[in-house]
Amino acid sequence: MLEENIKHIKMGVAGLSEEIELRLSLACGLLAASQIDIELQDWQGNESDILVVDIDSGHGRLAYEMATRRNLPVLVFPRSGDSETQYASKLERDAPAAVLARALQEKLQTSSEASSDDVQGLLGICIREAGCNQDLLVKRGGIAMILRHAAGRILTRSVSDLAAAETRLLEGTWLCMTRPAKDPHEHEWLVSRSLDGFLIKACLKYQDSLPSLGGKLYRLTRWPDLGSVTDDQETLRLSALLQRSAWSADALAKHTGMSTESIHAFLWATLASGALARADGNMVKPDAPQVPATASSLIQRVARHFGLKLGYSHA
Amino acid sequence: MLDSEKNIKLLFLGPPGSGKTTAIRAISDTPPVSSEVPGTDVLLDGKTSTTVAFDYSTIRLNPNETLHVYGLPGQEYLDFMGAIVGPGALGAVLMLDASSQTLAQDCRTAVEQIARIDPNLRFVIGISKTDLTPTFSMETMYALARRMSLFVPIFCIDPRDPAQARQLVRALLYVL
Repeated sequence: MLEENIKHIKMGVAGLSEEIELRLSLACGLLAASQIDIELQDWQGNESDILVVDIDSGHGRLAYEMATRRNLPVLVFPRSGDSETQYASKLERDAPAAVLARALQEKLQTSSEASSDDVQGLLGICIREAGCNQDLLVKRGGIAMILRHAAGRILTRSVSDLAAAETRLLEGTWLCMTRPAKDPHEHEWLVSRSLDGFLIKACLKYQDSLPSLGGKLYRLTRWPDLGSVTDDQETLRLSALLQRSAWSADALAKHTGMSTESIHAFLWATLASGALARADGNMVKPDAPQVPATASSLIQRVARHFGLKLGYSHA
Repeated sequence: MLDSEKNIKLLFLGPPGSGKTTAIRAISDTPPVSSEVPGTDVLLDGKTSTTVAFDYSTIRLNPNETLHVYGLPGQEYLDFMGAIVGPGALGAVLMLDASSQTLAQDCRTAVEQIARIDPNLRFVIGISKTDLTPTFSMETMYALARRMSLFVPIFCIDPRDPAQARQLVRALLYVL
């Protein structure tokens, strides 16, 4: 087993009886088969990836309160005989180790999936406002831009403002306010660019700083505007794949051989521009294009001339 | 269906002034042979000439194969050219002018023209002059595409930039 594939998890426990802790420890051992290495520790507020608490104990209740305030993923053994209280994730007191292991694995999986709260700055604003039909004025220091999500455009006073905004994509000090359009000619002196293009280029530049999107499935609701994204041919390939079918980032990385970072960057950018959406159900591998063999080889030759790699049609 | 391996055709269509000739010039090996005439039409919007009949240029794929690039005229009365030049084409690039007051109608007309050439002909849409039209909204195009059930790439491009003009053709290759 390769060390780099093993997921190391710190699990805090609070208020568990010796017998439950033993079963939990066995459950953690079972997860080793799924390449999840869990370190159990008595929780005293120390750093943990997940908490398991028993509400029957005072320590457990206190830990639960603190975990929910800190937004820590928490699994709960409810008070004996209490079926009323609603907890996001609860465990049966007499559940065998295998059942506990499955519940832990599910909780760890969902808690490792990123949400829009995981990205800050201009990108975070774009994601949260992706469905906004109003123009938004976003500002940071001397940079001011108008985001027109529905129009798929971004407007600034100068091209250098766009470049400056790109370098501050993830900085958390952007201000955002709605800006009702008053005069149809008010944008005439502004530089107008594709929002898709801006976000894709910016996210690719900062791909190493973007969080993972986990194993969720995504699908394009429309082709992103890639007219200005001429430096990165892989975005065309990703678009073609995601337009035909729903994919997870990991499956895309495996299928295309691209780095997961660049795939996450593309997914974050298109989520932020509103071109990408979560998909339900299972991934359906797209059928190969139904092109006759001679035509296919001809298309390959034309593609080669236009700088697309051989085998691009496997998209 | 392709005409033959030795006669590979790529079409550019769209209304006058949308940048077809410019885009063809940007991707071709040789300057296009254009049947341009001085413009007298108010639609020319600053252009000094417009294409009648068609543009033609070539792209050498290898010593034995040439991609023939045709720009079909945008004027309605020259619509018959499509039936002569279009059959057997690999695909089409539909160019539109973002500053046009009739953008949606221009798109609809050009899509119908493509369907008359070959209902199965795949195409992509390139929109020029978006940088000169701050009020331009892609929503116009997306809404139209939804209404017409078009699931095609729609890119804003500067047809003078070879990289952007080539990007449209690359996108076309992905949808073939």
